[in-house]
Amino acid sequence: MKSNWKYILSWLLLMVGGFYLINALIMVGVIDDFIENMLVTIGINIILATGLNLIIGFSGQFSLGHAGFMAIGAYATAIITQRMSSEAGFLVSMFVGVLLAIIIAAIIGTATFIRLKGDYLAIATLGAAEIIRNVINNLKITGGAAGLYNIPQLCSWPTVYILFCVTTIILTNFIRSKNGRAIKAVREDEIAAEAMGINTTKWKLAAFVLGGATAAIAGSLHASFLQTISPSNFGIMESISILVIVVLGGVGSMTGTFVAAIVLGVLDTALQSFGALRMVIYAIVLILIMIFKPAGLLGNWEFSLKNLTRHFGKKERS
Amino acid sequence: MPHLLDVDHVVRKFGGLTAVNDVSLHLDKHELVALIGPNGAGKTTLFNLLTGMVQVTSGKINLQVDDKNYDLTHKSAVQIADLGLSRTFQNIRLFKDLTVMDNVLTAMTNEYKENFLTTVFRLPSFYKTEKEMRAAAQKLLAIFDLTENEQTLAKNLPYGTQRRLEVVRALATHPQILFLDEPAAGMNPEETADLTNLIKYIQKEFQITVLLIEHDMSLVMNLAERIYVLDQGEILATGSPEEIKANPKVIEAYLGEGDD
Repeated sequence: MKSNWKYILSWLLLMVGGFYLINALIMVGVIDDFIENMLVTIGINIILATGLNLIIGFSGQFSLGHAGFMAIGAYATAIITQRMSSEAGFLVSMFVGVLLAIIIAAIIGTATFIRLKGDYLAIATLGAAEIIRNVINNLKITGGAAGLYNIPQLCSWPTVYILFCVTTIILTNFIRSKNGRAIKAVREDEIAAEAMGINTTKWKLAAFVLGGATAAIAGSLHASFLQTISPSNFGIMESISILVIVVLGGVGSMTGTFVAAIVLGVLDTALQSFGALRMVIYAIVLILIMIFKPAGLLGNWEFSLKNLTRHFGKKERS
Repeated sequence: MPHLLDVDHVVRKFGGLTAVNDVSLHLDKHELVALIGPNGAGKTTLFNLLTGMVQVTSGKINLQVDDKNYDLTHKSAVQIADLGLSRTFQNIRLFKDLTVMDNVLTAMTNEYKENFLTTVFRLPSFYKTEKEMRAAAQKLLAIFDLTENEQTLAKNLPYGTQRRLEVVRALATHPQILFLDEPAAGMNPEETADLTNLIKYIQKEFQITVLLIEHDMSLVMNLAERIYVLDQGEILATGSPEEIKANPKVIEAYLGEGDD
């Protein structure tokens, strides 16, 4: 019992420490606007990719529609905060976005998971996301194909940081529990899972809905931070770029997703001065990593404070 | 007097093939029954029917627990598992990338309730439930001599141990009836002997009914109180081990003459 509190406290300290570290670096000018933008993008990408990793890496369901849920959150925030430009409005909009994403994820999940698996499921989720995008494209309230602009900026890097911590806590704790074991069992062997009384559709749905809800949070942050959104931001390419982070980091490793999002975020920023060559170099780096690390940067390895302290404890004794 | 499990004229057809044809059998409380027969006789299909993995074409399956009747005929695998029917598989279906401990804990998913909020925010009740689950799993693992392998990934266990773990996982659901599909397949005589004792022990210790499919006749004759012989989808004979050994029809279809 006591050691549990020790680890919870250590993690909390780490998070608060990270906050003040970034804060201090901004104050002394090491982190300028440019780097701050990069950090926010990385934070949003981590929220998106960890949610997708829950669906793909842990419940084993191939989804290509993650950007659709992001769009729901983004548009909820854009529409509501344009009419209610306050911190409270931002919170309400995020809540509405998450709620909508949960409902829509539940509908899409129920329709597809009962019959579809693997590639077919990927195509179906891709189609579902395209439906969401097309609906947004054709509604008046969403501004159609032109999108929405002049969205009030109600979130700065601390908001992103806090929500990034909260979603990470929720996702990792969900995985390291009875729920996580159940969804991993579904990934490993559906027939055996059912024989153990595990309702495979229900658990796939739980992962899908939770992943969709976190994507909506990321969408809200994206809309409020960038202040301009249009349907073309949430197409298949966005879903793919989230998928790239997951695969690159290692399918089934949350730590890997973190590392990949940071590596790609820094790489993307560092390559900005290369102009047209940027995408070529980016792609070459991706190919090289996949050739030399086919299971992703970290495979399915997870960082754990518990193992770390155990490791160092051993060293000290010897 | 109704039986614990009553299988009544069950038929299963796959297209033009009748895999299980008009099979009736029953299991009583705390019985150890064996199902034998040549390859392709429909034994595994019958297991799949009883555990809801495959639905019957016609016939009825009825479970009677504590004076309550449950019609299992069109229930799903999940519902049947929740009613206390658990199984192992002929071609081992462990959760390969999970640890031995997690394999067992997974089977307890429905037994322990955990609320979403207590889980994701690690409230004290989460640790309490988790501790209870782990203690229950450790107790089972100790009985099966798997304590040392608690943190080993299931796929890294030797074959015989994997089979043992599958039995532990099935037991972790607290079944009324345990279906074992060829538990001794691929084991050497020594391992088979150990397994025989173990099955006897769990049937007594956990007060459960066991139905097992097995080709190893020494194990079957040693363990089973009653035997059903299945051939070409139909029940060919039933009776005690002695009666089956002496039954000319069984000898012709399955056991074979002593001198050929």
